[in-house]
Amino acid sequence: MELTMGYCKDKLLKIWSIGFAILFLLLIVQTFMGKYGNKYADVVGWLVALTVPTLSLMFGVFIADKQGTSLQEIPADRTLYKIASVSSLIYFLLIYLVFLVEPLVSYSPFQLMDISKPFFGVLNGFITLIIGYFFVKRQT
Amino acid sequence: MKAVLSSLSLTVLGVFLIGCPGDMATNNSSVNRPTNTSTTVNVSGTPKLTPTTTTVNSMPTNSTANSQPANTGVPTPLPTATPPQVAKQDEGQFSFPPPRATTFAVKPQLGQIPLRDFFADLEAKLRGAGYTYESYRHFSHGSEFALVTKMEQINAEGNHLPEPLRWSEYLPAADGVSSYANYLLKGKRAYFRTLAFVVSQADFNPSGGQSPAFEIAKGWIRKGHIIMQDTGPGAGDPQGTVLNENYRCYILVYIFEKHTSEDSEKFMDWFPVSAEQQLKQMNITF
Repeated sequence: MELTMGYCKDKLLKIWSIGFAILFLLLIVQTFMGKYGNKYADVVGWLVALTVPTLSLMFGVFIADKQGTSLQEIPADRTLYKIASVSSLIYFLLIYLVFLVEPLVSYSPFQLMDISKPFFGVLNGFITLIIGYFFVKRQT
Repeated sequence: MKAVLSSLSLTVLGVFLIGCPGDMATNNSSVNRPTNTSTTVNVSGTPKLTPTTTTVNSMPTNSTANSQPANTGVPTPLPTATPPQVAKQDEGQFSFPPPRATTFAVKPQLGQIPLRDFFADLEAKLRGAGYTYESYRHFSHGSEFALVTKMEQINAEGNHLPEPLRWSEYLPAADGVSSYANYLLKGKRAYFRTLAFVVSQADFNPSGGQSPAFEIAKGWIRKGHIIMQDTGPGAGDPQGTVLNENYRCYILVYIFEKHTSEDSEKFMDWFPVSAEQQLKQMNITF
């Protein structure tokens, strides 16, 4: 079966939207329960920096699709799509781990976010590049 | 195509911003480190003074006055005398009268026992509760004596944490489902305790005066003496100071709270478990 860009776009957008929405919801609950005190903006900033740039790329593609330059039927590169989707899933899993592992270690959430920030920066750059290349390549 | 390219450039900009050094490092890296902000708390206030301590207060010396440059035409402000309790606390000493305690108990009328025997008995009880020779120090000032324990970590029920967490400042990790859920949603909360056994004839209010800063209370263990220094009325006699019914033993409990969202530990004015109950939990009875 041939993969189309429309299918890949929807799948990637789902991974990123659901991954972000759950994290954001958890963050809201934690903030209202006083976990971060007055420093909640630091945590929101951390999450936004790690997810919103790539999410905006996804929505850019989504808007472009709606504006008439439809990607629906264009065949997609299967290997690139697999790399993009699997690396996105691993990326979100690692972000979730920061939140879920924190109660089990002696570090504070801020320390963990501080430690992980440069590593996530590199990963995010890599994933965004793959996703961006994936969409641009098929269109040309 | 243009929209995709513009999104991509926005993304690259975002990724670049992630790589830039953020504020988080400066804001939050001090979680387990001492901060200087809290040490100023004690210096600013005016503590309650007893007659014994007020006599120690000294006026500015001549040498200080002479060191000022002459004929400058600019009026120099007179140096203000620092109250002894503030000065002692500033040096990191356990001061008399003691700083405000979170909770306390009093044993009135100690009876006719030598001071050394009283403290020997107390030290034996403390060792039974897990305090080694390295975990307490003695302070004395005239006829007032204190034994202060090392800062230890306790739980919300007033029981000390198992070693080595007991003597560390690391926030404890979750050890069950309920504590995991609690830490995940509400954050970690740790309590630190220092006990002070003060033997004194003076009448003071343990819940009055200035509360100690965490760093100062933590530093008491480094400032005191390993062996009790008998500076009391009978200090020159072979028998040393002998306590009588005028002496009381104040058991002062200092508790500090640390939450993951805060940079420094906060003194607690109130703790749900009383001093008496905490001593009972450690099998320290008088």
